[in-house]
Amino acid sequence: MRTYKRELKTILLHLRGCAWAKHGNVQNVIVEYTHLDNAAKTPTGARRVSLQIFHAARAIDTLLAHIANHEGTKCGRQVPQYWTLGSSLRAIQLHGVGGLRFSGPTETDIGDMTDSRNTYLHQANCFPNDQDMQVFINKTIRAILEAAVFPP
Amino acid sequence: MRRKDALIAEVAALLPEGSFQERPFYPNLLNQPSLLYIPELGKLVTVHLYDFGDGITWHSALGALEDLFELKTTVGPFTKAVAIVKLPEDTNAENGDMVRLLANSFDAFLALQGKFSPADILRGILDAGVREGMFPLWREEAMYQRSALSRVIDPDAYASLVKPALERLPQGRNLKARAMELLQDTFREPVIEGRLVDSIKSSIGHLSRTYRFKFDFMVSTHPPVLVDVLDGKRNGMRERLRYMMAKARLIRYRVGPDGIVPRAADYRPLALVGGTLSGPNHDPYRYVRALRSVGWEIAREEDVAGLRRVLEP
Repeated sequence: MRTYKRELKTILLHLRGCAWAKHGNVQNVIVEYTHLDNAAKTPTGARRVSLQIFHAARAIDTLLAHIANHEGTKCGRQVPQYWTLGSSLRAIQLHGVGGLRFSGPTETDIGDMTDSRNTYLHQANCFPNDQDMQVFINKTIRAILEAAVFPP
Repeated sequence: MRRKDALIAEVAALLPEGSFQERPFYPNLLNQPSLLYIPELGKLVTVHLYDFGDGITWHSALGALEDLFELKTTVGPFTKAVAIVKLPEDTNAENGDMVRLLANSFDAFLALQGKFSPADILRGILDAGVREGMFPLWREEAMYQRSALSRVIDPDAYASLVKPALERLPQGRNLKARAMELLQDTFREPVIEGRLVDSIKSSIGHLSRTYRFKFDFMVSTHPPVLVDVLDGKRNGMRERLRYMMAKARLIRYRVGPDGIVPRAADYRPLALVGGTLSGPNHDPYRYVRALRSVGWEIAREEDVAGLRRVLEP
C-alpha cells in the first residue's frame, strides 16, 4: 500500500511537470487524481473502491480524449464531438501522436480497463477486491505515464 | 557521504511545499530517482544519487547511464535528469572515462567533492539546461522500445523463465561451458568466444579512446547472434540488467555525418538465462519486459526448442 501511495503522488507531480500540464483539460485530470487520492480515505470498502474506479476511469478517459482531440485538430482531421476511451485509443494508435503510439502491453491494458470499468460501473452489486483495484489503478497509471510522453 | 536520504532531505527542505517528492515511484523504472521536483508547471526534474566512493566500474557507470535512458524514454525527453555523484578518490584514465561518460550524458552532473552545501546542490540543479542535442537519440529509443514491446509478450513463451522456484544453478555447474555446447549443437555454426562489438559509448561520452562491448559468445549466423550468459537469481539482478540494457541500446547506433543514427540490424543480442528471471511478486515479467524492450531475445539455457523459436525471423 505504501508503494501505491508513492505511485499516486508521483503521477500527480508528473502530470504537473509534463509537457501537457498547461492544457486546461489536463488540469482537470490532475484534480481528478487528487480526488482519487482522497477516495482512499473512504471508510466503507464498497464505496471506496467504487469511488476509486470512478475517478481513475475519468482521469484516463479525459486525458486520452484530450490528447486524441488535440492531435486530430492540430493535424487538420475531423474530430468527433464526444470521445470514448475506445475511440481515443483507436485514434491514437491509428494516427500516432507526434510519431508515437502506445506500446502493445499498454494498448492491451487500456482495453482491459475499459472492460473492467464497464463491469463495475454498470453491474449492480459488483465490486472489485483490493488487489483487482490496485491492478486497475496501476494500469491507468502506466497508461497515463506513457501518454504524458507524447509530444503536444 | 552523508546518508542518501539525509542529503536529499536537506536539498528538499529548500524547495517549496508540494513541489517535490522524495523517493518517487515510477512503475517502469528499474532504479528510482531519489527526488522528483516540479520547479514550475510543465517542467520536471529528477535527481539520482550515486555513491561511487568505493570505486566505479563499467557495470555501475552503464547502470547509471541506463537510468538516464529510462528516464528520457519513459518519463519524457524534457525531464531534466540530474546525477549527484560521490566519486572515487583514485582516478585513472579508464575510471576517468566512466565519470566523463556520465558527466557528458546527464543534463546536470554534480560531483560531491570537498565542502558542499545543499544550497550549492540546488543551484547546480536549477542552473543546468536539458541537452537538446540528445533528443533524436531519446526519441529513436522511445520508438524502438514501443515497437519492441508491441511484439511481446506471450506469457506462455516466457513462463519457464519467471518461475520463482528456479533458483541459482547447483554449485560447480559451469553455465558458460554449457552455453557454448548448447549454441554449437543448436546452430551448427561457428561459435566465437568473447566477441567485441562497436558502440556509441565513446561518442556520446566524448571519451579519451574507443571502447567496445564484449559479449560472451557470437554465433556466426546471418545476422550473427551475440550471446551473453545470465546467471539469474531472485534478488540483486537490477544492476546486471541495467548494464545489459545499456549495452543493447548502445550497439544499435553508429556515428554518421549528421550525428548518431540507428545502424542496420546487423546483430541479434541473446540473453541465455540460467536460474530465474522472475521480477517482483506483483509483476513477475518485469525483467523479461525490460530486456525485450531494448532488443534482447531471451531463452532459457537447456531449452533448445525455445532457443530456436526466439531466433526465428
